[in-house]
Amino acid sequence: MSVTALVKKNTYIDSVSLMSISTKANAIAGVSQAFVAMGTEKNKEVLKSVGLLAPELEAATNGDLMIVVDAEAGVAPEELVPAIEELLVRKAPAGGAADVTYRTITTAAQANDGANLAVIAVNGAYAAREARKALENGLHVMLFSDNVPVEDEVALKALAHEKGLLMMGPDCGTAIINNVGLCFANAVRPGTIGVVAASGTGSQEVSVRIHALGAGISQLIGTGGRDLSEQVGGVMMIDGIRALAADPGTEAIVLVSKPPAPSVEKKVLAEIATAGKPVVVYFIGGSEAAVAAAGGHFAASSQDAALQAVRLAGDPEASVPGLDVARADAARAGFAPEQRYVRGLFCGGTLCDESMFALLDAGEDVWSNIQKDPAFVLAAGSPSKGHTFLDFGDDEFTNGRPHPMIDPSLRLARLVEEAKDPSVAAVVMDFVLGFGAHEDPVGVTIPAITEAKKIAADAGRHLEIVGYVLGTDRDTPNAAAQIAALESVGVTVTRSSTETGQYARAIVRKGHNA
Amino acid sequence: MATQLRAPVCRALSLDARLASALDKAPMTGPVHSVFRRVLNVLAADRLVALSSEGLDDAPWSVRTDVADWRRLGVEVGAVVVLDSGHIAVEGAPGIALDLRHCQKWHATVSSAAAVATDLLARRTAALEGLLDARGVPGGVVPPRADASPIEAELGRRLRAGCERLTQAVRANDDGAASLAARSLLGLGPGLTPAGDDFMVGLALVAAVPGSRLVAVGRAIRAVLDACPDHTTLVSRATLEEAVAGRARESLLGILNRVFAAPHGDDARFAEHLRTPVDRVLSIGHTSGTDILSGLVAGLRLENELRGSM
Repeated sequence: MSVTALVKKNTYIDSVSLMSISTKANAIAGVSQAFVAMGTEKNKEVLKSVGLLAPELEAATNGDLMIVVDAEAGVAPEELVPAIEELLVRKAPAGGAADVTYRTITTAAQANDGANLAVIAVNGAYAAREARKALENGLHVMLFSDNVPVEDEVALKALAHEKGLLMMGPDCGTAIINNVGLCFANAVRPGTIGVVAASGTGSQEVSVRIHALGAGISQLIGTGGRDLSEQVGGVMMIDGIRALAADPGTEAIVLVSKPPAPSVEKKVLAEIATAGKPVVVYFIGGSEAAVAAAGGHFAASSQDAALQAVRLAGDPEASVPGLDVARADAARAGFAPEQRYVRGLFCGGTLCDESMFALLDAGEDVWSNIQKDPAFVLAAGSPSKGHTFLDFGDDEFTNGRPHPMIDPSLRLARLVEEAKDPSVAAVVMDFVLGFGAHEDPVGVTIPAITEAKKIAADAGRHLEIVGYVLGTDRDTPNAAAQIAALESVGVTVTRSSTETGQYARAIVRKGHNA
Repeated sequence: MATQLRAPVCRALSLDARLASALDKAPMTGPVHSVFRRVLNVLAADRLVALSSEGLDDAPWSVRTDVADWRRLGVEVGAVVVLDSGHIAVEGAPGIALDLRHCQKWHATVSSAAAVATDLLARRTAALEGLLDARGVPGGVVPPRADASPIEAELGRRLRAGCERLTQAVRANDDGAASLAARSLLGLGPGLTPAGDDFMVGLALVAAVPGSRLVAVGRAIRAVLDACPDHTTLVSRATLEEAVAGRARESLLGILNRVFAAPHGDDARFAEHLRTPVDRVLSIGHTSGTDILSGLVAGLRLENELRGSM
């Protein structure tokens, strides 16, 4: 046995890196065994018991790092030390190649021959420059960043179009490309339905409903929220439709957007006539006649969009259950006379929009930070009044803080505030699962739900809390576990974004039109 | 003199309520002790205060921030950090100015052991053990792979022997034997939080649950920490001291609180509810998460046994 050792004073290396270093040290040619460990008394006892406690280790203390090398016969151990010290200097990233850091997009593209897509999430002030570099290097782009000037968006999309690349974003939160979920996407089954969406949570909802109906997604192309505005002109949605039309793995196409600019809607609808595949159009508040005239299939809701797509893609028997009217009646019967209003606290903009539209459709006045009617716009910091539906993912709430799908703190505080208002009958919330979302959105909300219910109960009121979990059985955590956790604290759980709006409408109305 | 202003590059998200309370009483100042990707440790007022990244749990004496990688902020070990009730500032790093005034306070709360009957506790412990068996990492207190080196094999043998001795001593309510066993585990294992310590963290947390029968555990670990303060690393000693007081990172407390929650749902659903916090704990360090959960499972089994013997 030929042993050498060294001690690095006051050296702290996290245990994952330490294990990585140890493994690599043991793999160095000429090393019989190597041990890298903190210099505690007990570790020194172990070394002593196997005959490896070199004299220089005696003085090591609990804050020092010990490196012990037992060389193979014929190899001088001191010759091995530099290679091990090099490992310490490099401290290789724990995750291996997946964690390699590049300083620029260009070097990353050059170092990875097969790479063809860049996900960019930097400050909006620098995002356009990085996206341009990616496009110039032949990469499709998913631009997660927001606050990118619209002029930059127009220029980037023109460049991408010219190069035959996808320019998803800016402000694009969800995409599924070749079965790989990006950013906030959910884990859904691969399939034959392609989605092009100008709405992040809207596209998540449609993909999750398609999965729940037993079908799957071929590609989900995000366009960014402004794509269907007058200035941008729907460039990405049109390119997306063409890409899916040419994709042999796609049999039916779904388009999802908040209300588009009329002139852009016209251009997009003109495109579907030449797609050569059935196209379902779900533009919130859109015109059924215009879609039908263009040869598309109009969807009145996200659930309807998913259902029609699944039927068109080969399962004509697909169906969804209707609203449980008796459950809504029972909830309404428990309200005190002054409990007249619903408060919606949403992470997802499209989910908020869909539920809000359900009430507006029923003739109710709704205040919101995303209201189109200026008379009913409620600023982010303002107290609620009447029916109030808030999108916590809107810029006003996210300025300087993470999206509520990651940081739920503002929404939790608002839930407790709403519970104190005696005019509130119900609070409606969404819980969005997915790769980039909070790891346990229900768990982190349960203490606030419990507190809110207690506040109402102490005041002699029943507060109905309605929750919708946007997620699948493949997400982590999975939707069933999150639903069970909500039900365990008395939350009424709905089965889709569409049903959430229907339920909210039903519990504040005397009759039902659901 | 003109003040050089620079916009902060990071934000405080939440902090331990006990740390907030200590800072309300008196500011702290101390050097940066160590810098890792997800944690920057400060040695202030004789204790480690952790500035952690967003992806980590709330934890004792910790401030959670939106920093993704502390190593990229250029903070040197030894740089002076000033903490007061409203702010944290790092000397030589004007971009690191954490505003504590509006961030959420985190409270380490643990349920009572009284709400769960023996048979239910046994089933829940089995569910946790099932997850640990399926997802745990070998090499700490879990037997190492067949190709382990002689050092790893010896380390593993000592770890398992120490764990077994400690559980037997607790079962027998033998303080002397428990202290000896705890001493054999303290500082045993290569990492920054040695595997022997990690096992004791899990055990100590069960012992700290109000109503627990494992009173010998807390006494033994406290005695050994007092007698041999230098036998383990500073980070690990601080973690153990907090665990004995029933304080640990949120995901660990989340598991305990689920185990000791009032009965609801069936066993399959219970395992589903455990999966997320278990995965989170298992992601701690290399084998640390597995070793802590092994201690937790051992503690829960002992708790059930000792209930039956009373």
